Amino acid sequence: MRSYKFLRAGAIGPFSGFAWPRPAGGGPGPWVEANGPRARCRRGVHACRIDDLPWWLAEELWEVELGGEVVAYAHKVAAPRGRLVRRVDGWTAAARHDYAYECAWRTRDRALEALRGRAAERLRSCTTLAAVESTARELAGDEPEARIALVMAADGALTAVSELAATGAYIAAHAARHVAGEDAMAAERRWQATRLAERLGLSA
Amino acid sequence: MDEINCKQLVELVTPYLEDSLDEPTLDLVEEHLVMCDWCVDYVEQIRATIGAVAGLPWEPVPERLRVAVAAALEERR
Amino acid sequence: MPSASSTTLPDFERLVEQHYGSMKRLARTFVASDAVAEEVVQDTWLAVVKGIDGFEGRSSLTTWVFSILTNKAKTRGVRERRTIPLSCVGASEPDEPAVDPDRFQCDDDAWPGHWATPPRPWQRPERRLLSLEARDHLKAALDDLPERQRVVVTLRDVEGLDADEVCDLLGLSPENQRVLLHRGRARLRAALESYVEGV
Repeated sequence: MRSYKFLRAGAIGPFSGFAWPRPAGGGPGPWVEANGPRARCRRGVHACRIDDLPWWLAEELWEVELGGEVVAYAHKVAAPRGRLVRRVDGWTAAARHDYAYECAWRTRDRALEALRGRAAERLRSCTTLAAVESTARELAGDEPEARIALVMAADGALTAVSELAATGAYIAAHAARHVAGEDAMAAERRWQATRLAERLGLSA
Repeated sequence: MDEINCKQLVELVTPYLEDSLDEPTLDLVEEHLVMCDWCVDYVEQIRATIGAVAGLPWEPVPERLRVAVAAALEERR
Repeated sequence: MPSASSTTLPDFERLVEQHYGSMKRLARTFVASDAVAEEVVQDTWLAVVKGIDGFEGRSSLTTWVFSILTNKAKTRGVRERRTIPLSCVGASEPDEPAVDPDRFQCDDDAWPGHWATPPRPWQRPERRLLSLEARDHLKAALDDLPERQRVVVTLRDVEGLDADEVCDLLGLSPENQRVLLHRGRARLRAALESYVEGV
């Protein structure tokens, strides 16, 4: 099973601040022990299965190899050691931007599910996320039934413009639950994972 | 509980910074921090506050104390 | 001329300066006046100088000094009949959220419990926080903390003692210690936030 890991720029662990040693000369990077002197986390090296990726979106995506017994958690896996294998080059700033935007448009579409008539038309006819944000906020004042969905669409549009991909994915998932229920939320997250895998050529 | 909100997170910052949260709670905190820049800022501000407190200038020592300690040290010689 | 034995002594003058404020703060929680607290600090240092040869290094020097201080302060406090021991934590300690609940969205909002008025990033916090004005403001906020929060923050964050050491010194349960530290830091952050934002 392939594993992946999102890191901050420079292959830095997002919580530990740990600087992951990078691969050089074509092969994988050196093994990092979870409880070794350099790593901080007592629970192991964390990584994502493809389905886990939407929860962890960050600047760099790496394919990693895990060693030892791999334990599965709700949205991650952990193992006693790991190493970076290769950077997923396709996950660039532009790809992050596009992905954040896609999530935001989907959140807009989710709000449309809750709207009818003129309000729906106005929101549907937005051609930019900036327009989605202002229109949705305005409509939220007039449409009590769809208020939350509209606020979510506005918030989603705002975060996309700030390129906060993880926030946008979160908003899209929660908008799905609000409008269409728990199953829709799970489906939204699956869509988010599948979309990443497709765009980046990731295999499981 | 499959996620926490910001109000819950700010109450977990102290054990989070001491690495004393149990694993499930730590997972929840990390998943939240990934999607919430504001809480990241809050945690950073707590860290900065700790640093600032640690860096406060020392209070001036009363002369009387200084003299007494110097005298005691002198007696040792 | 320093004797052979004094070359292995700690730099007492520096230690006295470094720890004076914290020691006085801690002593003050046991005794009834600043003047008595100062006396306790002085007695402590005299005892430390006298007893330094017997210090075995089982704990850090700081911890050792603070435990001598605590013992002397307690003794003095009992004598002076100061009323409420530090370790006495009322069963009904009022709740104190780290952040004003108004700062979060409520159940009617799109994101209940999420920030409504988020913390604004402190611009170049290191630079701001090092300014004299900011430090004065923080010092005032520290002095304004409820006594128990102030002393726990002092011992943990100024003096760098660990949680167990602080619990031992003050007779606090780990839970109490954590709550006091948590609340103290939260109040200090809030004080700095209003300063940094110019509110």
